[in-house]
Amino acid sequence: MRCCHCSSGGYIVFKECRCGFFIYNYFFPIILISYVYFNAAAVASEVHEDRVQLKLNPRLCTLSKDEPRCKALVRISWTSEAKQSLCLKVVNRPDVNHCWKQNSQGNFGIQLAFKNDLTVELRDSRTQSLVASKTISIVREGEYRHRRRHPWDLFQ
Amino acid sequence: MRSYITAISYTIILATCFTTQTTSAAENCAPSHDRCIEIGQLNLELAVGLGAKTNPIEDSDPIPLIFVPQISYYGERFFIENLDLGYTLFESVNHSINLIATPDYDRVYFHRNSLQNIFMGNTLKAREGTEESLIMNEQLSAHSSRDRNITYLSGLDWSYGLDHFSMQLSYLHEITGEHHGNEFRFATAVPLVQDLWVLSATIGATWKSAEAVDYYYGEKGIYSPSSAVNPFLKLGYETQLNNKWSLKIFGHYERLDNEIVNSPIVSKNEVLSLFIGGIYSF
Repeated sequence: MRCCHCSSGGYIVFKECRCGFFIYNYFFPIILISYVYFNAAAVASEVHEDRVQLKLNPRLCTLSKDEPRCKALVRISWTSEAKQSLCLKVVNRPDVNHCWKQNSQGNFGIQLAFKNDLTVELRDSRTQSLVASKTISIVREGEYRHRRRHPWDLFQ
Repeated sequence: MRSYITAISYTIILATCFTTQTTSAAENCAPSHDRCIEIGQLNLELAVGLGAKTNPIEDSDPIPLIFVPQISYYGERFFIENLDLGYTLFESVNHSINLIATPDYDRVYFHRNSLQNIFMGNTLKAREGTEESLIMNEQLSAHSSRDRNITYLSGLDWSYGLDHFSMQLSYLHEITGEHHGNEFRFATAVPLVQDLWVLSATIGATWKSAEAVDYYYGEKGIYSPSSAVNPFLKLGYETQLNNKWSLKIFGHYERLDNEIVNSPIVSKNEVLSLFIGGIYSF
């Protein structure tokens, strides 16, 4: 009960309250460490993203109700600040594999048919670590019908 | 009863004739059209604003219109529009014929105020202190515990629409075994201004059979009304503010038939509804 009172009552009762002790000694440090960690991770991620720019075209595929899959010429391009050896891969499509050796940019086009979202990855050719990734999303159009006209209703 | 059987017969005939045409009509519905709705999607809207509907029952408070949820769901043929359930027999770009079940809206006047409360005040139209008024008081007290249950009507509903012009005609029969009455509902909405905002006028009427009027406004041995026609006029303004919010303003005036107004429990000859507020689409 004291804790509840304390947490809503503010800092005045810190010295008398066990939850004040907890907040002061554990909660704030945890928040501080988490902030530093996630901030550093975000900065690292930005640096990583800056290193290789991956572009896909198209980014979206809209299917009508009669179309079971998306068929598209997927154009992939990437640029890098430094020369790298990279391999292009498509998730769940082991047949798609194209590599570049010590290049700072690359272009590739392939005709693909896919039922679900398609994720394209650039991986380091030696370590296979993921360098960049983008996804082509599939949007399926629903079936539509006419809404009933109802002028008799108060809110229509 | 005979009329109900007739209505069912017509329904079956229409269902047989038009069922095969429904699908092709639905295919012409473009998603971008504001009258087209996605099949299988639950649509929820909430009207938030200031508004009220006057109550013609003696000593009754107006019915507030502050939060009014609007729910709709459309299957390939089946649909729900708030409290209305429907099955589409025929649908084209402009026309639709539906078999519907819809509540009897007169009950809203009694829901917030029981008859017990209504009769506590001086609701009698006979002169006070006279022998006539004393007899009526006794008789009304005897019936004051009578509640108006939720009743549902079912029947055929035809609607026509072209852009913001629309027309609707429904023939309904009470199916919950309370009064076995019938009802015709007619309305037509005409756009007066059609721009980024829409100003429209709606005129219509509701015809109620004697059984339906008597169930709500009659009192056994005191007042037995016959059928009634309530015409109405509505002016509405609506504009889309963004993809979630729209602004709606309307005023709805309904003139009550003398068969209803002459009831000892009714004190007004009109029902006025006003609302100004936003409609939020979830």
